[in-house]
Amino acid sequence: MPAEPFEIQGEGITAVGSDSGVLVAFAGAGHARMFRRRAVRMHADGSSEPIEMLVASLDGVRTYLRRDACGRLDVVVSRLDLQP
Amino acid sequence: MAASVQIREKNGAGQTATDKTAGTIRFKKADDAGVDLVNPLVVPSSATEYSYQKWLRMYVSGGTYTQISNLRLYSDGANGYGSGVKLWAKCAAAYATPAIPSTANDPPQLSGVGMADMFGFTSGSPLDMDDLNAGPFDATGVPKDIGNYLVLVMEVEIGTAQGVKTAETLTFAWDEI
Repeated sequence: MPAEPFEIQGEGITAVGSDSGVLVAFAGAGHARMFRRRAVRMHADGSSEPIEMLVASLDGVRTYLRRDACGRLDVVVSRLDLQP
Repeated sequence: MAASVQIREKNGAGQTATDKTAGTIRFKKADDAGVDLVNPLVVPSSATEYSYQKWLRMYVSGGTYTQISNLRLYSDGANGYGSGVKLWAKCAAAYATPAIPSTANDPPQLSGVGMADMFGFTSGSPLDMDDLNAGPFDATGVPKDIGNYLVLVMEVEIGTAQGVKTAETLTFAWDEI
């Protein structure tokens, strides 16, 4: 889980997402948005796991990104069952 | 800073709320949020046994955000309770005091409509949690409840093995800007 929420710096064709250093930006025309997809997973043992990913959405098609073990925003989550 | 979102269980006529975000929801034959062995479900000798309904709702307690939308709920897709135990789900727009559904209906009904298998809702096919109380939900009036009420009912069938069952996992997800 990220220690801090992603920084979201805009909406539209200039949308940019950041994790305090690594930027994700759209380079094409279209309706672009960047936002967080968050979840609370209530585990069987009574614990709770917050999940957070950055979503880059272009014309409604979503790409999910999360941080790797080093905290870098560079992992694209393509498996549907791993997307929140 | 992001929104602080809780999952709360509602009980009684006045929908008394209990934060279950980091907790367990215990299905039983009583309308309370206690996780105990009081009023357990009983393995039936005929027909079937339903628990009291569990009414859950997402709640924004604080934080900084612009809006929340696209609320969804899903399970891991596999019933880990064991043979004879089922979990039924359905959304409601408005609260009603939790009750035990009539065993004349299988699956149980909510407002005259059959409930759905909770384990049929997966990350790829989740339960829509903001179609009846539609978003997006802005930060006005926080703290506040958002989205649909989730109603869950546990069923125990004839021949089910006794004992506390292995708990399951539920995931509540949303978009946030």
